[in-house]
Amino acid sequence: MILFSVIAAALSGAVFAVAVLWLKGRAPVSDLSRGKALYARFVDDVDRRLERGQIEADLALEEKAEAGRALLKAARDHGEATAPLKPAVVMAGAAVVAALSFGLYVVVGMPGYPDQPYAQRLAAWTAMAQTNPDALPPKPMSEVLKARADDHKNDAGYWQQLGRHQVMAGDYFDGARSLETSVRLDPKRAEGWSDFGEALVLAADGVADDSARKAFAEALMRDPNDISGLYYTARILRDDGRFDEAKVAFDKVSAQLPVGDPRRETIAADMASLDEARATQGQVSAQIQGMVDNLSARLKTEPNDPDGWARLLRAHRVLKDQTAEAQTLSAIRAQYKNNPDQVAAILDKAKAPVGRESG
Amino acid sequence: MIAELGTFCLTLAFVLSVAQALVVPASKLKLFAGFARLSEGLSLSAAVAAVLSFAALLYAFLASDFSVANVAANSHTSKPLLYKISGAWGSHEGSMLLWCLILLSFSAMVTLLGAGLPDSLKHKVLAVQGVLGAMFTGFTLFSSNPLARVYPAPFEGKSLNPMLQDPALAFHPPLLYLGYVGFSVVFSFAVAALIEGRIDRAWARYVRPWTLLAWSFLTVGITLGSFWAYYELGWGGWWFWDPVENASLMPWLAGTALLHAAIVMEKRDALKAWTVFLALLAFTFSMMGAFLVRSGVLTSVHAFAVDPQRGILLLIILFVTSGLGFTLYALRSRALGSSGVFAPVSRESALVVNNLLLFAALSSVCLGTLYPLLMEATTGKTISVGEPYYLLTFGPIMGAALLLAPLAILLSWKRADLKGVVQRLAAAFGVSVVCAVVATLGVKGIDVGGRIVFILGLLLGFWLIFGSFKMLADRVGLFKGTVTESRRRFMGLALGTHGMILAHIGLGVFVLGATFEGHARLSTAASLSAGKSLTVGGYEVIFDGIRRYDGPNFLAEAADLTLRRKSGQPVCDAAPERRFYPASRQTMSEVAICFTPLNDLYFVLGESSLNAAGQPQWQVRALYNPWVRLIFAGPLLMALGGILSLLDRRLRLGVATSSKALKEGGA
Repeated sequence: MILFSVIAAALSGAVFAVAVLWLKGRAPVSDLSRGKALYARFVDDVDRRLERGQIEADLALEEKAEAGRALLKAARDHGEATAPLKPAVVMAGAAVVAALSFGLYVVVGMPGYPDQPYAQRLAAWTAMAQTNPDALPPKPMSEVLKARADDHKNDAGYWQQLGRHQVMAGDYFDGARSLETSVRLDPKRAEGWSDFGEALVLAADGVADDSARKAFAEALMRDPNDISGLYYTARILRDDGRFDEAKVAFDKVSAQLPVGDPRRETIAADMASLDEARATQGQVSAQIQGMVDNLSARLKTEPNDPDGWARLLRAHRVLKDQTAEAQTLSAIRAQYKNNPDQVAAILDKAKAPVGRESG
Repeated sequence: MIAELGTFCLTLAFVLSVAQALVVPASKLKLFAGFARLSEGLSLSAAVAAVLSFAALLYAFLASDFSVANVAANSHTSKPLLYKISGAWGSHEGSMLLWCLILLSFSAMVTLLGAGLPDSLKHKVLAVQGVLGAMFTGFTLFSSNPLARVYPAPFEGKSLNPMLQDPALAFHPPLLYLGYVGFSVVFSFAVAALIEGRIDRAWARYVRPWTLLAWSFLTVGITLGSFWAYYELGWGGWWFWDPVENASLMPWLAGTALLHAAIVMEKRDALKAWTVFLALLAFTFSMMGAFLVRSGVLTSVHAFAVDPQRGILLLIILFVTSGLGFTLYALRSRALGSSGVFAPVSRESALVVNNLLLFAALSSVCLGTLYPLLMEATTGKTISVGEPYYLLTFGPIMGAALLLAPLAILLSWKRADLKGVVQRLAAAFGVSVVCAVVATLGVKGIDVGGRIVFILGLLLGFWLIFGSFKMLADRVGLFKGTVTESRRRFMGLALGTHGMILAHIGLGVFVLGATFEGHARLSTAASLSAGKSLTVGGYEVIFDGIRRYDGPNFLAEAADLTLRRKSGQPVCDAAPERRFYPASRQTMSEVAICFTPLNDLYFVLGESSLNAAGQPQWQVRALYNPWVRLIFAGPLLMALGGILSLLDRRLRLGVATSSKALKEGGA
């Protein structure tokens, strides 16, 4: 705080010095003197331009007359030079400004809170990783590891550690990329593939896309009892509506977990949700199918309804009815064959998740 | 400590601004006699303090100091250097500090360049600037401090919105603010003159350079923003009548009217009250723009998402400053009698009509922008005012103003010979008609009404250009003497004249581009897999395939497109992209544009899907935007015209006089 106060005082001094230097270099000048100087310069300039042939004589005369009139007006209206400043009052004023500024700063600022440039923090984390790594949270640890990437380009274990820390820190996407590098360098380990798949699922907000499914399949191919691989495969089967197969997979996971393992509770909850999911899926499919039938019938009679086409396309996708989706796409393109922007807008709207449609 | 010193410097700038505002009225007291002069030094000190504060913010962004809340919310360690720097003004808080920096720098410029101003006027201007500086630095310091700290500091920042990570947008806000805030000086000159009760031709001469400076910056700022929207947002358009865009157009229109009114005042000592009114209005609209963007009343790609409480504070600033300015105007405007007399047919009259039309256009934009907001606030109903409204209101009014422009610049002051001017311009009009008709001949698929509007729009553009050339030809006596004589006259023309001609030509160029692009644009979209193609505007676009690569802070999927004429002649390769930014988990489209001298071929890559054969395909949107280059080149010419006028020695009189000249003049 003392150092800060000294620097703040020095800064204030420097800022005031600018004002003092300006005022010292500018002695008070009366408006009349200023006017004389200005118009003399203006008339000189007119003469120069006339000499060079850049303006006509009559224009020069007109401009000079204007300057003369302005000068007469300045002589009539001019004010006296400003009174000189009293240095003591100015000094006192400067002190008041500096004190007020500092007082206000104490209210709005955080005196004593140091800067934390990233490079400096990384250096501190690195030192801590070498002395007390367990105390280091996942994010700093992942940053410390990431800083060493150039030394471990071909080290699958390094990339797996980095990826795991990134996932723990919530950087799912970066974690997935690190884990992908790990399995590329050493594709034999089932654990590496299931870690990679898990990161992909987390990065996609819990949805297992084709890459994640492939990763879990790779993991189970190398180790059919890989717990993580089995667990995510069970969830994928459940999400696909293959409830019986999902139950078998969850059973397999549960059987491998020792008694008292907290993960057993998660598996039990997942299995309990299977029946509920089965019932819900039936209801939703019936509702959507009803909506699809009504919408299809309406669009046959009133085909100029972009929102309706977008909803129909989205419904086919939800029902995973690819044949109907392709037919609807063809119908949209035929309906709006002269308006490709409209087709693009419908396709764009159809991508919105159910319940988040706009318009 | 640097961040804290930055906050300290901001408090210093605030207190200095308050002092700058107070010393001028205090100098009326005997104890503080002569204190008004201190406003000069204080304006410089406040500007230096603001520079130091902004430098501290820049440092925090460059060093990725996430203990500064603003850096944590708008930056990331993986962000490229340029966007770390532009992140400093990419948020509400940072942009407010930039606003303050520019405002206080303009105050300092009044001190540095105002040696030729009468002391009394200069000090009053600085006092008003001090009030504005105190209000804005106070608002920034107490409600939007960009250097506010966060404890504990997060490990990583949230990064800047990927849409804002663009070179055009890195420079757009500073230029726009230079325009917006530049009008603060004009506002201060108006208030100072109203307080003094003395507004004359000299005042107009003092005000014009500041108006020109602000107007030129605003023109470039708006153009950059429009260009950014054109190629970054992937809609293919360049102006959407978005309320935030309109918020920048309104001060520009007021500034344009002011530029013309100030000429009349400077030359003829007329339109005093009107000129002062416009000077107050231009900065009022600038502040309204700031309020609209930051209050949360608008949902727009341009708007900062800010809590309404800050909006209320800004509204108070807007009402207090404009309210005081206009109240003073109401009290004093009757005393601002004009001595200049002019005939109904004269350049003055033409400029008055020009001002009325510009004001009507400004009113139509203002109504279209504010009506939906007022409607929602009072009735809860949401309505949208879009392009059709503006084309029906703003379009014809501006059309009339543009039609008048070439006539106005050829009319004489005081009393003019309209018949003679019409005769002098007849050839230019004839050539314009021919050019407009010929230009539209190749464009198919437009109905009769559309074609008439198309031709009229082009006619206005050509009319402005040829009319301006006619003026130039008259001034240099082209074909009336020898080439050497004309050249000598051309070189002798005042820079202001060159600037005026260039600005009008630029306006014509813009009108040509906007009209042609608006009527002849073509667009198509298709889902393409490798080897497939689509056609647009006589070009064939072949989809060669998809390429993936890692950017500095994003992952990209780029489509390789080959563009050929129908004859098979290759034109260019284009690579529109979709980029995924992991830090913010956002996906953005990066447009690819094939430039031809006048036209753009514009491509947007959409999402992928599987075709009937199970192969991946991508949605590709292609647009053919003819003459679109002119839309951006025109305003740049206009701004260049403004800068040329600014360099005119006659304009500098009384504004940028060196102390050496003062001494030589016997000071």
